[in-house]
Amino acid sequence: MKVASIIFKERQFNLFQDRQYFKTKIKEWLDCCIEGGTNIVVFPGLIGYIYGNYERYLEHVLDISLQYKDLYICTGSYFETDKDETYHSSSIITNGRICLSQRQLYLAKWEKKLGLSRGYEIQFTEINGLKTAILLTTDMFYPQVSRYLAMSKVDLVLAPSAIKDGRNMALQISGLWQNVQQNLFFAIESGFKGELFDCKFFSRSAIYGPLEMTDKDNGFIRLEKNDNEVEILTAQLDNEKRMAAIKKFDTLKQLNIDLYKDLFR
Amino acid sequence: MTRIIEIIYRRKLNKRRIIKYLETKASQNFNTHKKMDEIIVSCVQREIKLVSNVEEYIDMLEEFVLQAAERKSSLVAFPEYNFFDLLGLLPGFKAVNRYLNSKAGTSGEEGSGKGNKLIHDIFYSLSKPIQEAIELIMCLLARKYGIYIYTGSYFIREGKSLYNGGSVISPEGEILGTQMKLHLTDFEEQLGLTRGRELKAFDLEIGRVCCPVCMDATYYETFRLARNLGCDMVILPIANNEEYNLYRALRGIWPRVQESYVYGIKPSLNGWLFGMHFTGKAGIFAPVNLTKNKNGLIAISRSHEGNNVITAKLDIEALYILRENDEYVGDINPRFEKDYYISTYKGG
Repeated sequence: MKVASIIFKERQFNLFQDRQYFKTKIKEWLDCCIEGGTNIVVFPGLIGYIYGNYERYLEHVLDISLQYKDLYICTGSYFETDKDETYHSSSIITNGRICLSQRQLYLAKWEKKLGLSRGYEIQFTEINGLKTAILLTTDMFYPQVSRYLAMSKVDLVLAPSAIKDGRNMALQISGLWQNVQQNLFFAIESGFKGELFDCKFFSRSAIYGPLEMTDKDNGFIRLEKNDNEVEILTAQLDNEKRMAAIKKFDTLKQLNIDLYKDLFR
Repeated sequence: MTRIIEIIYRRKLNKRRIIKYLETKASQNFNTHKKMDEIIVSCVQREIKLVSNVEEYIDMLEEFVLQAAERKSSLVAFPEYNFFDLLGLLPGFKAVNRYLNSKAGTSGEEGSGKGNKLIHDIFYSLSKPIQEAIELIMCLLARKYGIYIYTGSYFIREGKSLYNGGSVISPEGEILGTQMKLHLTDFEEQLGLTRGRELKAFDLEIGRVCCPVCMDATYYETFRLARNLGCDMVILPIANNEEYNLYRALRGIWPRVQESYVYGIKPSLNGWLFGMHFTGKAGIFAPVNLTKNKNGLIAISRSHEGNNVITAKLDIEALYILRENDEYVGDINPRFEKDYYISTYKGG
């Protein structure tokens, strides 16, 4: 299965304020995905927020998805309102329908300041035989969420991210990379870069797999580089190769479950 | 045969011999534990060196304790499998080990665990005398230098079970408690080791500490439990049976420190044994925003091989402030967490 992660450029941030540019860019990304035979594409964190109204953003992606048959689009993240609550959310859309919506479970300090609320459930869907879930940006830093996904037998995690002060690669590695290594699923991260809510966000895009299956033995299948040209990272995800890697180092096999009864008191 | 091995070890690790040897060595009391307002800790990176007698082993350990004490450390931590050197006391072992090391990699089954039953029986038979000897040596050294010692891990025999665990010793030379390894490697499982059932916390004058072992750091749960127990420091002895790779090393204590906001102290064993290559850098870790270079490292060994003592000053107050203020820490989701254990681990 071929997957793609959009690389959001810092210099694009201001351009995206223009609705027409925004729409054109999304079309460009999706054209590129279809030409490359991509099955799943992940948009960056907070991109739906930049669009303005999240309902209109979703409508736009729903509409445009009809032109890209069978392509699964993870919308990136946006702020969703429901009654009096606002959530940091994301969805997976294909063929004009939403097949999964996910609200973020944990909040960063900047999200608390904005008065966001927490979701409490995790949704799953199946894409081309892989059990798939969305992991939103702050949840990457709460390892209980990734463990829940792994124990639910998730194969693939789609992760629109927006890490505050994330220019430091060490911070990003302490998020999704390490959760992939302790849970052994595939993950596709699409990172946002820009300034919003008086915060500077910087997340690199990457496609991760268990270290034992990656060419450089580093857990990265693809990683965004400081390259101005490349706008989309792509990779073939070989699930058999992942299974072989798990056989070499099966972390979940050695869980000491009786020990964890008081994990959350 | 195993009975004979135990008798040999009891003779070679004779208690009176150990006490007498340490008494004859020059005594110097550093009393470092009195300066508890400033927390300096050390961890040992060392190479396996098969010894011919217990005195050699004592000298080797004491050199590390001395270095830590000279740097005014309140605590010094030794690595996992801190007793491998004593296998040199087994008649003929050095020659067998040389042979196995020379054959390493030629079968394409590095560390495959062939002959595990034999290895288990040997370890079982020598475990008790080695445990008693290490605990005695470390208690005497702790008292001599007035320093907390984490012994590193050794085999601990309880009934028919064999555990991999280590002990914390006070500057007065008392064993404060012992922690068994909670998550075994496949190799240890094949060897027939038993895993621990409880994570314990130890109250030291410098703070509360947990001492899980090596593979335990592959699991976020271990460090979450350590935080639940009120720990600010976690000692994690390692002996990684694999070629060194930065990213492999990053799967252990480093991410656990980042997500749990504790200080991490990692002593490490390296060298060759049974044809297996152990590698790893000793280091002292902290959350990224508490470190000068924003990389989560306070101090780390330059090489993954050889001997080294890594020392650093810890600032618990700064850690508490960071826990309050950092962006991605400290949130709770009561609704998600309420049935987490059942829904996550029991498939509910």
